[in-house]
Amino acid sequence: MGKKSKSSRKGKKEWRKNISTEDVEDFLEISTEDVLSGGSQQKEPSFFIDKSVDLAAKKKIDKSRGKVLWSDKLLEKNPMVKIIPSSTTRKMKTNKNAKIVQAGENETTLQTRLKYQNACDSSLTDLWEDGKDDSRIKKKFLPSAIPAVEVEPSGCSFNPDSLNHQDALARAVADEMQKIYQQELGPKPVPSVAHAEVIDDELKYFLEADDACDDNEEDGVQISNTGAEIEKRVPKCKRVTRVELNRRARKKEHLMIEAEAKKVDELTKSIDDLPAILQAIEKEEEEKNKRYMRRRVAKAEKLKAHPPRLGKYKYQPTSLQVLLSEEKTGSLRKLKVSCTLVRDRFNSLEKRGLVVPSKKSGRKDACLKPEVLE
Amino acid sequence: MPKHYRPAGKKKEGNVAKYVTRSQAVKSLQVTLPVFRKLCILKGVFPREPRKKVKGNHHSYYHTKDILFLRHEPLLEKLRDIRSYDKKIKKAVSKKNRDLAERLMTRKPSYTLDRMIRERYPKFVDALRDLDDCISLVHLFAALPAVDSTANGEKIPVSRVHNCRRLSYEWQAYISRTHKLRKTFVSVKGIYYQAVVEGQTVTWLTPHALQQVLSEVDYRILLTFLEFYEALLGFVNFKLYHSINVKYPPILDPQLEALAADLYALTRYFDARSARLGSMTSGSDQMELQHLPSNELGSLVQITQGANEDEEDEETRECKNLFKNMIFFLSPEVPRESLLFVISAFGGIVSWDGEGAPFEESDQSISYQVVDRPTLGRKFLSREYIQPQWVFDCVNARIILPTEKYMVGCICPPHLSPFVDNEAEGHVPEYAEAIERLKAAQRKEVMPLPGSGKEDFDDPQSLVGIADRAEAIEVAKKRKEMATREKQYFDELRNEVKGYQIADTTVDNEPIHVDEERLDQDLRQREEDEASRGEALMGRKHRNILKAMKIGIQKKKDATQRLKKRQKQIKESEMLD
Repeated sequence: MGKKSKSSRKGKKEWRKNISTEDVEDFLEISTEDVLSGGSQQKEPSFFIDKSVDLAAKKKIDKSRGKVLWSDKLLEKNPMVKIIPSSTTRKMKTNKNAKIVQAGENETTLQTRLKYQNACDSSLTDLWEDGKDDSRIKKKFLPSAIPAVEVEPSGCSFNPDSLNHQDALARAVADEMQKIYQQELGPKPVPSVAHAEVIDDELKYFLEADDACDDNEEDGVQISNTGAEIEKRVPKCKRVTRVELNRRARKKEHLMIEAEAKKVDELTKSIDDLPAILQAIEKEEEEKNKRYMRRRVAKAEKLKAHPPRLGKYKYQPTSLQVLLSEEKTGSLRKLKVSCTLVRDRFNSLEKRGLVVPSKKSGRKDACLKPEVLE
Repeated sequence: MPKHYRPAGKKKEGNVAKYVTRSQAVKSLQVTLPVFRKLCILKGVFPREPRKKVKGNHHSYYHTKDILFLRHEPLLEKLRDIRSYDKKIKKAVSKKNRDLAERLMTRKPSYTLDRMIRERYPKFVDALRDLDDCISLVHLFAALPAVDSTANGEKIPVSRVHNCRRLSYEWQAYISRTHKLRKTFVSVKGIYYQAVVEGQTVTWLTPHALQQVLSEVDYRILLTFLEFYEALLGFVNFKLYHSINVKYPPILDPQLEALAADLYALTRYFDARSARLGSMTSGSDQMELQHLPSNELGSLVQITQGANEDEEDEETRECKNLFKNMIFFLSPEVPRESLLFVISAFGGIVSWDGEGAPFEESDQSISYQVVDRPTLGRKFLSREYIQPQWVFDCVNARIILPTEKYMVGCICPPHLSPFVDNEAEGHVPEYAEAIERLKAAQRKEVMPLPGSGKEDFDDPQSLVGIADRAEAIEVAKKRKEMATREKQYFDELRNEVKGYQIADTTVDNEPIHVDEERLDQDLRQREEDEASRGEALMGRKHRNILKAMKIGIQKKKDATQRLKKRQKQIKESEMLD
């Protein structure tokens, strides 16, 4: 690969030398001017109408965008044909952040308007005006059929009816007991500290001695066994005579004929049995279908209460918030508010499958209420 | 040369092609995980469960198409820009260039969520459907303390909390002004409300004012949801306010705002608007607020009467007139915001103890004072003193309940949930029955003629269902009368035909012995006949389904019977003790 001639404009390195540095030089001029003149242009007044427009960076592609295709140019001579430029021009960017002061606005209204403008930095318009139906927008996928805000049963009121209260309490107690039973019935965890007796050096040898004794016994039994096997393994080999061979051949033929006859027999039997076979197949299909339907229904039922398994950790529902029987005073003022709604809302988000449960979310339930049903 | 070129490792079809894990998605979008989470929440992209989890059970999977959709999202670019801008600020700060850092912070790029909301909810009805979660979360954050650092280092900025408060008050003001609230339920967790807006039922939960301890949850996620929901609620409020011709955002009296009486300020703003539209000529909004006459109470009553809504359905009118002409005063220990909202939503006028309130405690026209103390100091004779539960129960029952049971110092009857359909459950609590009887009594007062009621006497099922024994007996008496009269008529006709002379017999109406047992049997027999007539026409399948249904219903009935028996036993044992 020899040195390329200097006149060649192709290649990656060459084009770098061909970039115009006009805008950079312009900018440097302006910035030095500012510095020399004291930077007065950089100060920002509190309210100003920003009329400045950024210099649009001239890109190489803009030059070609303005051009027209040669074929179109040819056709231009024909007045019936309109020239279509190769692509649409870029729209001018408008400056959104200008704070404009309206005439006749007094202080408070300006403040409120600014407050709202800053709070939600969008101009409040009617988003849904004139019922534009944008059919391009795709249909929204609902992660789950569980409603966003589920109302608690009647027994969770601050002054509940006694029977409803008992119902709700029973449910809460059942949940707690389930957890306790799960823990008890599960396998016992490996203890961190194992019980062991201290064994002295003398006892150690005794332990080893026991093991050695057993080994010897096993060896002895094995040796005697191999002896008997060796005897059995060497039977006498006799020569196969012609008679024997013929006998074998005849037997083989018989067997083949019998096998064929059997096959034909089975075929006729199965043809006779055809309806029975069909019925058996139908039954199997029905069973399969039933099982499939059962599983689908069970899954659908489960989905009404839990999200599908979305991540590493399982979803854990919050416990039911019920008043204990002692706490039931019937007064709104004395209501002991123990739980926070933050946890409840977060749990609802998890329940609908919008948030993947993390290991922290199921761990500490601040509203656990162990209690005894009266 | 190969015709189709697929990059090595890229699968064509199946679960592998359709689902990507979260880490794969983050890599392909070239963003960090927190930015990815934020984008997913704002865009409405959520993980799904594939049939076969190809990379293992411990990953969360997203649909490939969702991720591709995310890639063309302009918000992604904006978030990247913000990230790089943050880096500039950080650099300036670490180089101890405070001026530059401050200047940079004033010009920080930001994004708006209008397009996002418009994409996710193309119609207003869709937005209304999703309002439950939105309003609950906004109300929750309105009640939270603004902290600098929660458990996981995330801070809840004060401006956000104030914004939430403003939005929640605007929403409440709208609902109470247009009387769209239907049900309330006070539970241990908080207060549930249900309203009907443009045909959509919106149910939300507000915390009790007392709380709130911050628990250990991921606040970044909640704050992202909050951001989206704040924008959504802003736009929804805008549209709703415009539908009742009120300017949004409302400009409130700053004095009242400072006293944290936002809801009251909003109602006054509404009244000012409606008054302006009604009669007065246009002026600036600020002047209107000062023009209200000094007799606050009178003016408020006038204005609320003057505001007329043309499209109002039956229920709204009913709700509007529930607390009509009733004037409430709230003591400081009752939940003020909640009661303000509920009472004004049902047409009542309410004041409280404090600066800027419409009228004082000693005003003579107050008809009800809501207190929650064990005993009272001094009492005015012209007003009734009740506990706050009375208000909620009245609202749920839609009638004015008698106040004896709710007086100061009494233990109120149980607060029932209006969201539970008692007949469906099978067990109707006693207080619910009492309320039903009161309702029925009130309805009868309104309709003077029981005979002109809608009950169809020919349908025996409706007869059996009548709770009032006396009514049934009356109806049966009437029928018997009619029957005897008919018989008489036919006899006379027959006699005429036969040509006998009709003796002037004074028709003794024999005293109709109403044999109660025979009545019962008669009614039951007719009911059974009607039922079996329908049954005979069904096919076998339907009959079996009917049988199964009946068994289910019977089981439920047995359960309730058992409960009742147990209740009786408990009562008896209590009495014996």
